[in-house]
Amino acid sequence: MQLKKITINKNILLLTYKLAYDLLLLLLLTFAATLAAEGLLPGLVSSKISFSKITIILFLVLTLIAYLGKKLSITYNKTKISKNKILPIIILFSFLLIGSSMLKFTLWENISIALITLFVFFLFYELIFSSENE
Amino acid sequence: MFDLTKEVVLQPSLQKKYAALRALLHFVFLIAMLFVLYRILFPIVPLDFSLDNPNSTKNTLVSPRLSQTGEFPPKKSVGATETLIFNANPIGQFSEANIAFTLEKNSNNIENTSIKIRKSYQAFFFPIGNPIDFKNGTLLATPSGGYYIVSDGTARKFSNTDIILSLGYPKGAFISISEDDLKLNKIGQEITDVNNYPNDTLFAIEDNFYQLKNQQLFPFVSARAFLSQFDGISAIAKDKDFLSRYPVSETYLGFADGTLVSSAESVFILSEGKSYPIENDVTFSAMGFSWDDVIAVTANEIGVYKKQKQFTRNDSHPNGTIFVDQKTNKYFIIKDKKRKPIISPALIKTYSKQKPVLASSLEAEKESSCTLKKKFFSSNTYECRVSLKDLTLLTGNDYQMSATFSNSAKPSSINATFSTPLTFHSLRNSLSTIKTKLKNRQN
Repeated sequence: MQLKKITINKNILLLTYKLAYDLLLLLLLTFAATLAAEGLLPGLVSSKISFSKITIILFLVLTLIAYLGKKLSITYNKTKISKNKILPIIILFSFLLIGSSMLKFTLWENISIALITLFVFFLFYELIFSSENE
Repeated sequence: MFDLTKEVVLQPSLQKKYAALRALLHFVFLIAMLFVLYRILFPIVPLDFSLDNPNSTKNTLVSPRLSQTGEFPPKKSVGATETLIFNANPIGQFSEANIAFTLEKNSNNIENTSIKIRKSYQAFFFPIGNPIDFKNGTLLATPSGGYYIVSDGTARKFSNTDIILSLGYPKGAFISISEDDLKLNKIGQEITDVNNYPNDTLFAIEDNFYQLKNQQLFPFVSARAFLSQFDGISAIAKDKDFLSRYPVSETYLGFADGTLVSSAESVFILSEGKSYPIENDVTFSAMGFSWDDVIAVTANEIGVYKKQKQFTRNDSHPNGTIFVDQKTNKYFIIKDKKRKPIISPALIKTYSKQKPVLASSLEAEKESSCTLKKKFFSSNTYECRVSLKDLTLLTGNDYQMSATFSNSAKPSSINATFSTPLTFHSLRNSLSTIKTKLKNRQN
């Protein structure tokens, strides 16, 4: 009887874990869309829902996922950033986001600054995580 | 379906539950997103005023006051038959407003009080004052052959034409007015002295313009500033030696009150030696200003003005702003919380160098009303819902609300919530606003 109860609880936790992951994706997409909208027109979305609220909910969901993952002993293999399938989408989105914040610059100035900023971010990433990869 | 956690496998019995819960999660999320989108495209604007904290920056309704005194209600108390007025300046087109009064516990009942609401500009609601007179320095000619200069607010007659010629006043600078127009200014002392210029005479020396005041020459900060107030011809041309005759003041004269100027990234409205930076393009448009009227000025020109706090849509147009009634073509100038009529065409010509703000007296008189009822589950809040359909498209950015209580009352807070109709017109309007904002951001 005790064993059955534990099994049910574990399944519910697994279910919660999977749903929390789905919620995280939805929140991240919302966050990205809000960032893009705010980049184009500051105040458009933040006047209705504050960024702090979305950020707090995001962190709560992340904490829940981390807690459940630990409790359920779920582990993932580290994947190299270059092998990440959504990397091109992230780069494109970052590029557009940086670009939209500099609409007053000429097109070429805007593209150059956005590319340099992305390159600097990449260097930072390499600097921070290179020792871990080695 | 896109699965983020393929590695985590559920028991077959739970997989159906997961699919159903997942669908529910997506559905709830979609509804939440649609609600946010609805609030963006069809905004609801709640505005408040706490009479307990009248100076709080959180107050978003404008200046509750008694119509009889124009002052904030003393001890927050509004007497029986006294009218409480307040203004609201939400941006957008709204279909209705919910107006609520929360009273102190010891206050009388205000049920069945009628709330009236009108729409125009805050300054256009100012009471009508005495007609404005000709400004100092203006040269006038009457049909009976009299020639005058407006000096220290009075119309001073030149005793003969020889004085005009010997002092050098340009003949073409005298504006033809009627005898009735002359009555607008008090008649001052006659000018008989051929050696001394009366106060407020205008001079052009090289490329600079000056106005004589108390035997001192006050320079205009630029020719543009002078031309915003007077015609170029109205100044007496003098050579540089003339400057030794009168000391030159260090105080500069600026642009006509109500002039719109731009400097660096900001647009200012100038009035009485003060410059008010306009909050943003939305406020600029909401106040009825035209971008064609904005004069790009130098740092020196704007430097003679004392910079004030931002001019927001909750502020009324400052002194010097000119309004024109679209229906009757009557002109008004704002002066000390009064709307002074500019009654003669000659006066209009001297004041209206800048395009006036369009308004309508007829529209400003139009009103909607509702009757206060006690709010459910609240012991001391009274509210009513008023339709704004007849008002929303009227000219102006300001809703003026008034309430005459049958019993004396002690309101502690006022709330007015404006809501937008769920119509195709509102949607198109919101999208058009977003498009304009995007365009402005690019420019």
